[in-house]
Amino acid sequence: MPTPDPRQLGIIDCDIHNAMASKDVLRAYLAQRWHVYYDHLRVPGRVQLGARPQPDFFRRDAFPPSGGAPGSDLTVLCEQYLDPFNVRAGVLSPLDPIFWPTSGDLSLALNAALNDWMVAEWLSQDDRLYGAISVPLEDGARAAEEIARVAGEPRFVMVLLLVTSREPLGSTKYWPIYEVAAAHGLPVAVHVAGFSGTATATGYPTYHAESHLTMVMPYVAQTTSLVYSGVFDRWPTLQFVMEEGGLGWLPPLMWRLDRAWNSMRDDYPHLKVPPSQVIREHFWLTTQPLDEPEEPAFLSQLLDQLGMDERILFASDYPHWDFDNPDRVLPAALVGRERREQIMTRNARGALRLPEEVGVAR
Amino acid sequence: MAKYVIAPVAALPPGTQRRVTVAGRNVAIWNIRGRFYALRDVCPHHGGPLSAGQVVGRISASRPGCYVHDVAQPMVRCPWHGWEYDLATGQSWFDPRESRVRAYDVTVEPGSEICTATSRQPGPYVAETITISVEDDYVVVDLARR
Amino acid sequence: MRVDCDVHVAAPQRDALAPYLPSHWEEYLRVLMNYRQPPGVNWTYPVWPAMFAGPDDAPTISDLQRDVLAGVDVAILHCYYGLESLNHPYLAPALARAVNSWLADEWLERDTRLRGSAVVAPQFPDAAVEEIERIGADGRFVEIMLPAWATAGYGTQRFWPILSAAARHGLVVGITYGGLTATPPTPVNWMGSFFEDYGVATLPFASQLASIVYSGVLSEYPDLKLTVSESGWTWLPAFMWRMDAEWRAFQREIPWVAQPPSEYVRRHFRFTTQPTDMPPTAKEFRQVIDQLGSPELLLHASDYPHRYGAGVVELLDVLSDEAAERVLGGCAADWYALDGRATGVPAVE
Repeated sequence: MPTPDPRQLGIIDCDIHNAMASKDVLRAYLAQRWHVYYDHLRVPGRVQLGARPQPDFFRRDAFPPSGGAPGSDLTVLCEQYLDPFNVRAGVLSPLDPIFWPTSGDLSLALNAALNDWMVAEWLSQDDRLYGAISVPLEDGARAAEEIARVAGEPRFVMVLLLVTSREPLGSTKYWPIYEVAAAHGLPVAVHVAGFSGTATATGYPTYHAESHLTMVMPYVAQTTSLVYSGVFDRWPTLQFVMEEGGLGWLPPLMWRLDRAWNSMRDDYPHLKVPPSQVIREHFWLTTQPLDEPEEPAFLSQLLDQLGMDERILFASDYPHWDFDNPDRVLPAALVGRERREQIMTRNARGALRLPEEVGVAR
Repeated sequence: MAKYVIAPVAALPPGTQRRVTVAGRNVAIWNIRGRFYALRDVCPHHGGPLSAGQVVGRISASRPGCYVHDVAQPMVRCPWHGWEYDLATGQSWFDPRESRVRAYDVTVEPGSEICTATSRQPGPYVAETITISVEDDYVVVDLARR
Repeated sequence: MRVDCDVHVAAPQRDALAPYLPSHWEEYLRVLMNYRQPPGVNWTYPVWPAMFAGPDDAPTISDLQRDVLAGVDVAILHCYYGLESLNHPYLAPALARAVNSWLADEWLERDTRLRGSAVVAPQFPDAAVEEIERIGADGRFVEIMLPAWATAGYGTQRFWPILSAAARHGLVVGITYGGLTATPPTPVNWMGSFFEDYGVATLPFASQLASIVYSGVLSEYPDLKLTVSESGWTWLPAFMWRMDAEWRAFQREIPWVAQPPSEYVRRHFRFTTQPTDMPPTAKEFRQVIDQLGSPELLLHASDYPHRYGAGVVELLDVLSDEAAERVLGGCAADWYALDGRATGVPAVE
């Protein structure tokens, strides 16, 4: 019997971005004492890298007629994306926190308010929707506190961290997050955004084109750091989902880290197994932006080289401009029907605590 | 039998940019300063709606910093990934061997000529919702391959 | 012809440089600073990892002749000296000049098979151009060294005079492993161990590629050639896919990049083979080479005396004999114009 197309089975999308229609929305969830600080948030100085060819992150046709940011209107989300593409489970990651402070009491209050907003206005409104827990990234203790507070909500299925952190994520300052995430069986998702005070190994890029290319680089550093750090010895069930980095950066990193390990095992005896093994046991990747080699056969080779067929998770990144259309990406002719179906409809069940009934086609 | 009447000219004034459905196909139509363009409204990349895209002039540079801007060669940027297509030819302006969207001929024809055609004669098909008046002019899209 | 495109010479000690320094610097370094070498040297090549050379492991000319030159017609010497880690605008260029003069006298002069890569302090472009002008006529210098890790990408406009001078003199620009500046090596700041530093050391190379290609400097100086040295190189195919896919969305910002970025990479860059971050199977290795587009992009290097383990031999094994010969020296002979370069010594057969 031929493998049904994912559209018929219903796809699981691990990276959709909902948003507040306006800044005001959060006030209902935020204690009064924080309002004036929320109204006048300061963010660290950001350099304008080149001339960005669009005004924001969004596809131009995703702006709701009601006003507000793309992703802020559930009706539009359903009509434009969830319904026509038969999304049976979508994980929402709001990116409003990327403009917020990342540590301290204000940060905790804002993230807690956002998580409450997520439950009230999204996760409880459509049984296809799941969510990522927003936390004060640079404040391990407060982040752990917030995760513990909301982890009982079954529709939260991951913790959301930003890939550009102040220190590499293997640093002990982030360990309280991993402890509580592991305790609740929640994977830690690492997503594009964040402010570290630096950009690349060669300073700040000149052009936006150049800087967009360098978006993949923090994933190399974070994976290296986590593999080295020993967090997986400490918490053997801990899992990471690397989101919005694409796939192609990982095989060469595995090869390089394994070579380094072979050469330096005696210098680092705590690294007991090859790094590639650690990666294949503790990391997941979302597909977007899917690599687009000029020779289509290379995509299949890339998947072979990864050797992580069960750990690749479909993501659209709707409503961002660089989103991957589920109908166009991962064509069966290139990757095979089985792989396409696996990535788009099944693998997420291994990463996320989704209920059994998500396995039933609508 | 590939020509279709889309609308009276008056309904598509300069500045128009929208999608029309013609014989089951989505077609993006533009009127830029009186000249009409039509492209298949499906970006070859991921299928985005070019009718929701931005129109910009063609840009090139022979040297860093030496920009040449030609508004007489309008391009449309797909509202999704920003891929660009020449409105007149449908070619992408980089790597023209590769990415191309179907471009259609668009003409303006007087109602008097449309009305004289019978269903057995070559001539523009008329959408049911349009009533042709011999005094008016109509925008006609030819879906035949160029 | 057989060419080894990357052989390391240990950074000279202070007294070896003394004859080549102005007297005030010689005295200052000896008496006031108790100077040894710039901090970049030990940061980039720490002494203890088995894959690098240890402190007692500074090969002599005889070692080179026995271990390297016996098997090749030409070897290109790299003496990484860490000048990018020195902020003094007059000391750094003085040391560059001294190191290059020392390299010429103590190495290039001693064996006609040796060629040199000249050091410069890229953070002082005027002085760097002056040094390129000085050694440019000496045909034994075939390259200048710019470490990949830098305060800015070398496509940034203030570096263009350096690239221009190199192209003008027919010198390849070597983008080399390592470097040390005050700026962090990753987008998430400093890593916590050498293992991690080593793991992420491909990132500066990718940044430099992006900076150079998007800047348009390759169209400004179409004769410019760059060799990416000691990068592991297998990260390159996926990076080129990404460059090409994204260029379509961003081309309007950089319209002088009129062709897909990978074409500029293939035209203007070559990559040395040691180390090769090798996939675990021969089948995957063939795929990566296929994905690279052409083994013409690869230049054989031993990286002597570094000991990187498997990779180079396996690479040559999966290539056809013809392709292997090109990698082993044919490509380099063309790239560095080894036959046509006037060295003042008989051309190598």
